[in-house]
Amino acid sequence: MSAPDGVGGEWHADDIAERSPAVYAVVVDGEAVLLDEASDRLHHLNAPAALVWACLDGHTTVAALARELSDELAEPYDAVLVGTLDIVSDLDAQQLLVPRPPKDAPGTRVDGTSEPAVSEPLEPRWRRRPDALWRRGLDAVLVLPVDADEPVMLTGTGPAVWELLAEPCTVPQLAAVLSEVYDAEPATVEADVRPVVDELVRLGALESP
Amino acid sequence: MRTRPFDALGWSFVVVSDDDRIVEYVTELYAGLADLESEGIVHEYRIEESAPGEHDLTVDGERLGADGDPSALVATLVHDVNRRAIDTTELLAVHAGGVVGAEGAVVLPAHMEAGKTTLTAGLVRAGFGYLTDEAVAFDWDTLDITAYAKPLSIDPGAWTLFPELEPGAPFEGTGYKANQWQVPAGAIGAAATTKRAHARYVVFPRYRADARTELEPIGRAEAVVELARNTFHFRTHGRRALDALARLVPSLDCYRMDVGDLGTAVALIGDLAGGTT
Repeated sequence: MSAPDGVGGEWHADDIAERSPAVYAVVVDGEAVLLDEASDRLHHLNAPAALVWACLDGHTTVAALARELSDELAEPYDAVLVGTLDIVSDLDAQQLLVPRPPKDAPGTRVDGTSEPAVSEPLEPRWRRRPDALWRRGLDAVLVLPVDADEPVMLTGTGPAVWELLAEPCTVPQLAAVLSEVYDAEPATVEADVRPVVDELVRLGALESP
Repeated sequence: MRTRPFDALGWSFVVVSDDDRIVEYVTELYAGLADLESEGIVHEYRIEESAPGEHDLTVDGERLGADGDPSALVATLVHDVNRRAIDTTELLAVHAGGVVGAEGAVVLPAHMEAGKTTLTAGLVRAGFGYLTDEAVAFDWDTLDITAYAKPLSIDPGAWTLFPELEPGAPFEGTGYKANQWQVPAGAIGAAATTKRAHARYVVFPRYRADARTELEPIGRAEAVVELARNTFHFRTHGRRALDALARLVPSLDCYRMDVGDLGTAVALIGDLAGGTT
């Protein structure tokens, strides 16, 4: 087997993938919903990705899995292999697989693209729109989105949220940072932060990169 | 004077006040809540004059707020009951409105400000049975819904849609309706509050001013993700909640709905769920 270092590297036909034990899955109508308990994130897999996910046993190479699926689905092996590699790469990029050991030999490179089968993280990432005007006060931030008639004043945790939104981040990521700052439960912080972000999105002060 | 004991998803409480109007008002607001099903701790809210012209709201002796206008403390009470009901319930609670039509319950999960209460109120006004405007509570095993018929908390942005629901209580002050209207489902004049129901539809509403109002079917796996995102304390329940939601959705038809016009939204759900009970 060959394996590049770390998460997100290129996958090859003779690599072996294994589901992370921190991920719990339910299957609904042939699709899958994954709960990554390490990051508290949910993922939605379409039917092909759910099928591949179910087969990642930590023993079978991607090539062998593709061969099995090719026979099962009566689809050309090469196309199935490309699709399977894409799915495994997506799962790996989302940190849903057991990390691979360091690479010890070159593997087979497979070129080709297909539609991503694993959804992006379902929690959107947000950042300040660069055209939103804002000014910091003593304990508040005044934001004027470009299309808004009136500014909105952020108080409480709002200024900290606005500060963090200089970089793209999800609501859970905001909550994780602020829960450290305020020494509070992330779930509690998230319940406070989400309406603020929702309102800023509604007003057009944020954009999804 | 005190109210009868109420049960809010397992949070049992009475309200005591030295002002009979407060007790009568709260009794009316919570008329839809169930009686106690079993003996246990009954928490005691008190709204009483603490000093000349000053009133306190307490629960089991813990001070929750103070105001010169005692009626203004009712909104604080409603929010406190809501928070404690959701935090202490042993049921699987989803942040959602809920109504019952002829073909079963319609669950309307959404975050704050998505228009849950507005849509729920519109559906109740159209004749649907009322379950809740805040938390649809599922039994972990049977997945039956237990009603949480709190007063509908209608925000100012929706007041013009429901002018007939403006509260009119006999208080000197207007604190009880200054920031939000608390409206008992009975005041909307629709079907009697439903105590239990089984979900048949889930619709994820999203208010968008001027948007075309339409239902869009979605897959059940996607619905599980959205339900999970709207489940209170999902991180605590984890796998158990995901399993329950995965068992729930096979019996549901699932939709998203952009809501730009309340009347159209109510009509679409009426066509979907068979109108009134």
